[in-house]
Amino acid sequence: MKVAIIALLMIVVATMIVAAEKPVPPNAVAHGAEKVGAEERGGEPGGPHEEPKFLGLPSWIWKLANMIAFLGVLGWAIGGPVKRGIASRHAQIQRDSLEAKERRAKADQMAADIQARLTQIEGEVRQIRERAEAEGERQKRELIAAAEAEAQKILQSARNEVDNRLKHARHELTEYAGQLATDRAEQLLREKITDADREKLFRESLGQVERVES
Amino acid sequence: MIRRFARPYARAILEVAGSPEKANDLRFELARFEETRKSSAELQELYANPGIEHNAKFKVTQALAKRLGLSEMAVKILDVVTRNHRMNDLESIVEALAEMVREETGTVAAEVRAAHALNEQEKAELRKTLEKKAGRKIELMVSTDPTLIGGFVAKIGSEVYDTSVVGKINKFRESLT
Repeated sequence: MKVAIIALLMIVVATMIVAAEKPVPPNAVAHGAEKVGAEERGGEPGGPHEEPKFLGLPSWIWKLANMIAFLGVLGWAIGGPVKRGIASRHAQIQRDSLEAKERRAKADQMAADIQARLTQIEGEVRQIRERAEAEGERQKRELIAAAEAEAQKILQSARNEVDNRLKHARHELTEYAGQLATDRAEQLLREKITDADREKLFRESLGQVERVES
Repeated sequence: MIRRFARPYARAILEVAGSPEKANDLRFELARFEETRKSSAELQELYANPGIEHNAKFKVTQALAKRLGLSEMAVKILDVVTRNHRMNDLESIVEALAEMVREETGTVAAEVRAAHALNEQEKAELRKTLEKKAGRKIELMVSTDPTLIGGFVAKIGSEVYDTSVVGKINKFRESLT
């Protein structure tokens, strides 16, 4: 509202000043030949020229005053808002600057953190790799040891199996040989035994029974 | 195996005999009759057939008894057994009687399988040896088993004395397994 009133006032003042100015005569503007003639005569083209005045003062003073007033009113009218705007803007810029600095600081901190984290991660990765390699080596050793143990076990089992089969075969062979021998002995005894042998065996049997402990 | 009903018959025979020795004589007579009866399928059928009258069976019994030289007491016992239709169980009655006689006389049965037929001297030596082992008198029952090759197998109660050649061979076979 204030701005509108000031603008209206300025328009009114300017109109009054323009209306008070003296109009230029129609032949006030000299042509080229007239100007040259006048200069040769040592005078102004179109005749002598007089500065316009208002209230006894030259018009340029009024114009100057008008301009100064205009500028003053303009400064008075828009100085406050402009100052406030500039101050607000300045404050905003400062806040933004501070915020930007904080962000920058945060970003720098974050970058530093990330860098530190990257460094740490690199260390961790190195440690993990080392651990993985160590673990791999350990597992490799364990697997080799387990495989060797298993191989030994299988070998021992195979040896035991062979031993057992050998024992079994020996046993079967012994049993078979014994069976054959006893069968043959029984057959021979049946064929060759005499009554005298039977009587002798009977007496020996009596002696064996007597020797048996009840 | 002695069947349950055989013991009352055996006890009655022991009582009517008057002494264990006489009862033992009766036992051998009854055993001879039973051996004869079992050796003939016709006799077995005769005593098993309930359709044949008792008198007919008794006549056959008397004829057999005469031929086998059985005593009058033995014939009477066979008559009672036939009348009660227990002739097919005579073997079990004889076994029960033998057991009771042994109990009365304090003897123990000794079953011997010998590789050859033993003469009296051998039997006497065997009896003497086994009585010494058993610690009391024995009732020697000897049978011949040539498959033993030599020696004998004596069983007194739960004790078994195996001195046979076959037994030794079998022990040797077992030691190899």
